Amino acid sequence: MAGGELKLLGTWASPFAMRVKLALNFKGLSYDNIEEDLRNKSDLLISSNPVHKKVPVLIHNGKPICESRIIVEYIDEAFVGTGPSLLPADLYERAIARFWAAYIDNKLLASWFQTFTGKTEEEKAEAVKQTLAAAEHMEAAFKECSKGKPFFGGNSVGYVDVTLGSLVALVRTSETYDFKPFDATRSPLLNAWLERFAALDAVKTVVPDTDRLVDYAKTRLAEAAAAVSNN
Amino acid sequence: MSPVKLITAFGSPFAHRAEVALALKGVPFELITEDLYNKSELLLRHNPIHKTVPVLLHDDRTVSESLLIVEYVDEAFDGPRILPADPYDRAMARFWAHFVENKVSKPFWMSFWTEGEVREGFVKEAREMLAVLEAQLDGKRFFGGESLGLVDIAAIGLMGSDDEFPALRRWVKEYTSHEAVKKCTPDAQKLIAYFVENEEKYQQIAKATL
Repeated sequence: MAGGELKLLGTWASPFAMRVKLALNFKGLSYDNIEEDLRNKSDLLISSNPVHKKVPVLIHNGKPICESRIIVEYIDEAFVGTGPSLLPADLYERAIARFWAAYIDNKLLASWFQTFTGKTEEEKAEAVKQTLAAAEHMEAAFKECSKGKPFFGGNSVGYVDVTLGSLVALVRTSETYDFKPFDATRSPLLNAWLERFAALDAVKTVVPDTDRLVDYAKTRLAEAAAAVSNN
Repeated sequence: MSPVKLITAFGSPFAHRAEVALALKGVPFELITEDLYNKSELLLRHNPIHKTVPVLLHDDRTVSESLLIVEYVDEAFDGPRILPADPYDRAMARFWAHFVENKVSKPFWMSFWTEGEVREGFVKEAREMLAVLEAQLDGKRFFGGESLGLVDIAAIGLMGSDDEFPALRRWVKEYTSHEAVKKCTPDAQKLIAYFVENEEKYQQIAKATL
């Protein structure tokens, strides 16, 4: 049901929280943004997401919804008629959009994170290979979904744009590590799409600052490495 | 529109999900059974990304990934709803289906195909996750309430849950006696024989994912 109070529990760095912020922005919905400290999780977060205790959580009129892709679909279904639709109207195109959104998380992101967190150089190199292969598939996906238009969603931003576009900060951070999954020669369409997407006002207001993210990533990785060597 | 075809494999719980969805809707379909150790050109052509079953062929449309097929079938065909109508309830159904998929299925299956300490680890993990599901079932007939829904279909692989979980045990009985499910359940003896025959293969697959 439209209207009502929207609260988002997230963090400035989380690309998953960013997906929800993007969806809310694109739909023109205002919300209360609550910044969580993941080392000191709020009672609200724990009680709203007792199963995973993770961000993002959207709380709509007191009822929590968890998991970023599920939240985005919820926003689209609960606020039908408010702003543009994020999921396609056609049911087959919807199935295709869901397929690629799941692929982004299960394949692309999974191997991408491994390029940072892999325990050995071998593991990291394998992860790089997998990520580049996944990026190739996403390039083909863009061709299939956009049909020559500027976004996965066509003329306007859609579900897959939001799902993948939340990684724009991760892309910029990766570049400081010399890793470009969406470079201009290998994935020209995606590269162009990312520039286009990042230039949108709705995106600019929620993208984390790259320098801040690079510092944050460095700290987290150093901590993880220290934890491993202390065991 | 031409008849629906489903590329499936014997014993696959994922393919079973798609079959149940079609049976629930009363959609006639043709089963194309794959040998997953010798994949056909048809499967590789229709699911080049994941190369897995199930794959739904509906006219010139191809849908893969079992839970996505279930959602597609729900939207494409008339008949009893598989996902609820209310957006919040739909989000909850998707959440719990994902929970089953990402948190329960892996340790549950791995506990069958591993040994010793590794197996003990998976048994413990599966038990913790099943306890969460047990609590979620909370006296309902199905996860979907009075009728079968997305979460029930997602959870079908979790047969033989142990005595610790009375609600789940009751759910297994309800689920397996449902008309649509009975149509899609392979003969128990055949299934057991199949798993015994392929035990080594499954153990190797399990080892490779560790």
